[in-house]
Amino acid sequence: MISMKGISKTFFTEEVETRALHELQLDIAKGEFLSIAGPSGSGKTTLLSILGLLDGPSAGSYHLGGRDVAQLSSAERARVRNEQVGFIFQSFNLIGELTVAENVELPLTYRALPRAERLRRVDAALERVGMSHRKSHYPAQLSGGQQQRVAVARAVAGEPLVLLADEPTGNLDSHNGVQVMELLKELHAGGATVVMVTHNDQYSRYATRTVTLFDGRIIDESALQRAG
Amino acid sequence: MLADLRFGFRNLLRTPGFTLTALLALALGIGANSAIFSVVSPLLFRALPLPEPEQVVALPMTNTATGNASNWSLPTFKDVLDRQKSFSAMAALRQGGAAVSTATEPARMRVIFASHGVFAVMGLQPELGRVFTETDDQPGAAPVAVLTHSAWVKHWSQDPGVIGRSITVDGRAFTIVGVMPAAFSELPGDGRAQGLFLPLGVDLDEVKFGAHRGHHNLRALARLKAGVTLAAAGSELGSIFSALELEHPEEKNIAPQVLSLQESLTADLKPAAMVLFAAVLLVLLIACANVAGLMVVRSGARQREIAVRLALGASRLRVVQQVLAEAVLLGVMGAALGLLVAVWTLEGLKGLAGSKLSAASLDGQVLLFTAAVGVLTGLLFGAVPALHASRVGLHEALKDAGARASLSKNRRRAQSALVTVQVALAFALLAGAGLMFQSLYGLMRVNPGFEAENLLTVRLDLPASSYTDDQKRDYYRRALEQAAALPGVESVASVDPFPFLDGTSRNSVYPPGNEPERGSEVAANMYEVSAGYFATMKIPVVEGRGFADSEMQLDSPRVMVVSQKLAKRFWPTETALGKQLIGFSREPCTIVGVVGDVKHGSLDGDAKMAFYLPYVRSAWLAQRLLVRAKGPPEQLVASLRRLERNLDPSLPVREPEAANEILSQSASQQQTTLTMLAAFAAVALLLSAIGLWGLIAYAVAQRRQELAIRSALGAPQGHLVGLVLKQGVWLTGLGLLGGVALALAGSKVLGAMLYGITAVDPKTYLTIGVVLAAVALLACWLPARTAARVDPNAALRA
Repeated sequence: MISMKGISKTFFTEEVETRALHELQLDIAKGEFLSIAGPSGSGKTTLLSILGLLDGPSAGSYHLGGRDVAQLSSAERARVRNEQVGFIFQSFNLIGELTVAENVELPLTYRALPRAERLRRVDAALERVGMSHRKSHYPAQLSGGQQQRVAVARAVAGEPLVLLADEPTGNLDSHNGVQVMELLKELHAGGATVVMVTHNDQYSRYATRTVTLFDGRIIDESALQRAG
Repeated sequence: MLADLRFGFRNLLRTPGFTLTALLALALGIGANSAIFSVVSPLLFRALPLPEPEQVVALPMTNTATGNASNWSLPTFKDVLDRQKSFSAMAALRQGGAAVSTATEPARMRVIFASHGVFAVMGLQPELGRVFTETDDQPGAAPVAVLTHSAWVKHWSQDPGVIGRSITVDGRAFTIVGVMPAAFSELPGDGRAQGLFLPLGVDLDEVKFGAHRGHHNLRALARLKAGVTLAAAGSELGSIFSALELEHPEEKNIAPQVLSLQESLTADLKPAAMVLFAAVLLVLLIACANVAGLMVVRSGARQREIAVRLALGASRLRVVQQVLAEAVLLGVMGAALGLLVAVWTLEGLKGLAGSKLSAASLDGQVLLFTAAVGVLTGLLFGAVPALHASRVGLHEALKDAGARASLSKNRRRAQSALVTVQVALAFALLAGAGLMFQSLYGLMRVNPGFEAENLLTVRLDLPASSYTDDQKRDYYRRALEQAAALPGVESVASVDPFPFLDGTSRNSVYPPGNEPERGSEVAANMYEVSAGYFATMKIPVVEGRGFADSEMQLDSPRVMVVSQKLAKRFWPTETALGKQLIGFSREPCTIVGVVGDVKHGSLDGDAKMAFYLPYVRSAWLAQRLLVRAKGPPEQLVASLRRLERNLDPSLPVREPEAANEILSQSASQQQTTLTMLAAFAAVALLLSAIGLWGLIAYAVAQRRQELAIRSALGAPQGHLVGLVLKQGVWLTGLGLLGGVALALAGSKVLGAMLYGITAVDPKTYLTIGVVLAAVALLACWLPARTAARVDPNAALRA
């Protein structure tokens, strides 16, 4: 479902060239739960932002759902992001001025969906994460774990091809962290494709496959140990 | 306090972008105020340069039956002078022009024929010689003259030996007995300098007609006795006039007022001054709201510093004081820069309005005003940020982000309110300028009733002392003949008075046998004209004809031409031709023509009823030559000057004037007011656009994270732009509503200055609303574009 061939990403800052990703090859099958691991600065977030079309690669090809999405215009990328990618951020990224239901509805408002359909999807998504009873609350009135659940509901409400989770437990205590991981596991069990970036070995084990990045390249576990 | 000021100064230096923007806004706002204050204060606030100026009063007269302004007759003045107890001195005066022999060549000067009391009323001693005595005022007394200071400077080079020297005034010999001091360089009630005082007793006009109570030709001034109020003097005059009415029925329906001279001199300038002051005040308020908005943003960045101060034990009052000290410092610096703006503005204004603003200067009073405005402005725009600073939550501010979000919401709210106020004020100002523009445009398109294009006029006054009536008629006949023969001349005529240059001569008219009671007369403007007047002026002859050459003889039948309004007043359903009316001469005149109505004095007034008589039977035989040129009239100016010199080399040559310039000068006050209003409105628009831009840019910076999240979730760029614009549109909409309310509140003041348009004109409001909204949208567009380009990756990096 996701196929990346020779993906490279180079940043230029004040005449300094930084290669974040080196000719990376990555295929992710439908229904897979992939964990991306690696030390800070290894390129995990860059890879996630290219996967999520938040950024484009400097070189290489990227097919999402059979479509080449590497060189789309920013407007096209926004449309694909909205329809085919669901994001779960480390810091939840809920909008403080919107209620729980409005936050979940937000990505749907960027599509030409009838309001009744949007509300149906919002209700279903909140039901799925067990937050229906808090739909009129504002994010500030929720705990961190609850906020992340709402963020998960927002990600799944659009019925995306893939869920991208960036350190989804990074801002949570271990109890809430486990609850969120259980939720992702449930979603995966229900057929969702999940790609997660995490530092945490314990949470990596929820994934069906783990790739480890180092200096912008995918390496195996033993290679990482040798390098360390 | 000094430490606060020092710290404030360092802070301002640390943020040059903020400081420069704030200083620019303040300099524009304060500078505009100082410039207008320098113009208006000599007119409205500065006391006349006379001892106890508040005691000097004007006594204007009103016809209570018609509501028209009237004047005093000499017998009435003498009666009141004898009976009154409120005034320590009274004076009757009339002003005119005369040819005066000077140290070099004859010059045309303003002359005030005044009763001897005028100097006691003014309370000034002469710089040289003496002033008039009661004896000088008596008929048959040796003719004496007192020079104004400016005439002495200009025409006699301040020669101290001028006393006792003989001069001729319209050919009559006078002896100079005094020179008035510089403080008194302006003629009372006139404001124009260069002239001389002559005793009323030698005024030939008064000698000829002064004994008639119906000859209302004089203005009166007086000085109140110490302790007598205007009201008390008014009430005493009322009683005297009631008694006079019984003794002399012809004094019926005449009522004097007692007004401070200062007030009466500036009454007609007040509406324009009020409007301009209101305009600059609005500009200043916009600048204040603008700077307050900037300071609110800045206070966000200083929140932690203020929290630390509070944590270290500073009281909240102390923090308020510190913020206010910085604001006042900024205000005073803005005022200093504002003086530069004021200098440039004043130069521009003087260029526009010329000599009318000669008294305006940036003197000590203006400096004091500017400094006071600087301090007050600082306190005003410092109030909102000071209040915010005092409300900093210690715990939250010392902690971090979550608290910052909620506090920034407060700041955003305060800033939104300030921007709304700016838009509202700018709307009010723009609406005012828009209305004035339409009013002036309408005024310039008003048909005065004649065609001013290619028309020249020159006043040909002949001194009664050297010209008999027959000689005057001969002079005018020759002037008309010679002018008609000049190359490039289409037609010529003469008139007195000319509709937009001279005063009015209003007279009672009635059909023979229907003489009205005093107080219920029909008054109409009287014009004494030559043959060919209507053709030369291009006033349409609606019925009958204009005057023929044969009617310019003393023995020709008495004929009259009337305006349509006058014809309709007496004969609404039938023709006026062949009917008779009695006008000034008390002799019935047969109406031979009905002509179109003509405006007199101002374009915005209604045309008054008018009647025209052949000038040959005029009582004073003063005419103005009219020349219609075939092409541009400027080419005839030199020929006309030559013609004047040839007709009588002993008379000073008068400068010919173009009628269309005279007409546009009649709207010059509106023109100047409009130009100033437009300039201030442009500044207001600019300031509020900057304010709105600042707010939206700040909001976009504050919402960068939210915008990145939306973008990450797939929001199209258009949606993000719309989101930002929505905020601007909402604030602009609110501001516009407030602006309409403000404009409606100010409509009464402005309404008095408008012609042909109401101060609540929906079309103007709509147009201004659209213009302001467009500018506001443009101001929001730049930050909105930034919002659309926000990097969605920022959502991951939060």
